[in-house]
Amino acid sequence: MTTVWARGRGVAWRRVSGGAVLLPPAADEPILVTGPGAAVWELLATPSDLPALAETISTEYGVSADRVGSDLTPFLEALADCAVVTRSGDDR
Amino acid sequence: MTAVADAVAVAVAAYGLQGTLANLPDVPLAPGDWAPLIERVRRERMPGLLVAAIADGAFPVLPEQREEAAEAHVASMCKAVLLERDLLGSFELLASAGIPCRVLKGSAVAHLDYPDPALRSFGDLDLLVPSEHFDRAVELFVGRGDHRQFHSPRPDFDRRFSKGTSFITPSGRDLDLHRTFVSGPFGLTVELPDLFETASPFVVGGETLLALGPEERFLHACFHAALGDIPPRLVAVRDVAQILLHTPLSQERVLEQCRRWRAEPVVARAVLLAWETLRIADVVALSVWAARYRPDPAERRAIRVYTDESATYSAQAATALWAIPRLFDRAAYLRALLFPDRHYLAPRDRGYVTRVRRGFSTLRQWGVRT
Repeated sequence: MTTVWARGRGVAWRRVSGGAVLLPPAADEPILVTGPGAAVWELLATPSDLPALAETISTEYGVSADRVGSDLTPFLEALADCAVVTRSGDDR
Repeated sequence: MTAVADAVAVAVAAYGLQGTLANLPDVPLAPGDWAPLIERVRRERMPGLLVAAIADGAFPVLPEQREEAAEAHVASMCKAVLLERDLLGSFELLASAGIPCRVLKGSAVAHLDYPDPALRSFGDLDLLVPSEHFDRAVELFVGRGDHRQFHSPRPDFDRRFSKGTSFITPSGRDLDLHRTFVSGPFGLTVELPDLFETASPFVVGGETLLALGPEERFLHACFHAALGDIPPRLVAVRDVAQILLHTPLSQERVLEQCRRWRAEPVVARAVLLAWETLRIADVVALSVWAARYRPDPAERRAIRVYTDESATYSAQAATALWAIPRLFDRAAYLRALLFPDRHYLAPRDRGYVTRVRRGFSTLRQWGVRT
């Protein structure tokens, strides 16, 4: 079963230069994600799995999909911890 | 402000508008012009437009100026998302009590009328509810822990006559609860049921909220630009042009509504302000109508209570009398203004004597016989 990542509900956000400002539902302050992190947030407008996200970022930034995949997992986990993203069909 | 900074602020406010002749400079500003510009951009809530002009290469800047603009934008967007979280909670609070609600201005206009909501900053929340639900909505916000900033002069005054009331939310942000667009005469002639006949949905954080329909949103932008701050904020003037030029709406319906609301002088003033301030060369049916519109003496007097630098809230309140059709309601309105409850008076006047003296003096000033 594949894990599908999606934007969390109730997350207000805005694009800014080189990134995005995201407000986790229970946080006092927004967080700023930049570069590939912001690109991932944009991609999550459509729920997606890790290989698909990694492939798009890999193409966009010219880095191997394996390398992107290993960086993406802790990034998405960190966002999930503050409910900015959700995962479904968890296979861990 | 320097003359250069003033001119560039206008060009920033007009950036991306169809048909504007306001030009951005083709070389970076000197520090003496940049400093007042960035201060005004922050104050007038335009960092999004400034950053867009810089990113598009339309406004060359020095590296440190680019950084300062980006920081101003991030700060304003942080505020926007914090406000929108309060907005989600407030909208849900009203919806769960079965109270119809429309989001006004800032967030609604940012999402619905600009190509990217990041172009439009805002500093507070504005919600509109029907008059018959106004008191219940106030109770709900007070019950949530919001601090009401001003009390009603009489128990039923706000629900019948006022623009609305203001709160500080538990998270310390400003929330304005409206039942009409403005205080004074032009707020009393708006046909309030019209505002709930249509709605424009928009999404914040995956939740769907409702704003006014496009024509009513445009009319509200006109009220805000023409009768709000003195002088009008550039962002308010931009909203008028933005909605009229970029949002699909029926200009015929706008005219029909503003005639029924006796708001023609308001709309004409707002459109002229937008066209002149932002130097818009393109012509649309409403800009032609606005240029030809001649307010009558009574309309000019009514506009002046909002736009004269010396105009006071009392003058607005006194002029509002002509807009209240029924004698019984006029009497209730006057009684509330002249003899308000003590808790309303405390922060304003020392007591009834001062209040009565000032009230009668204001009524005489506006030609009302008492």
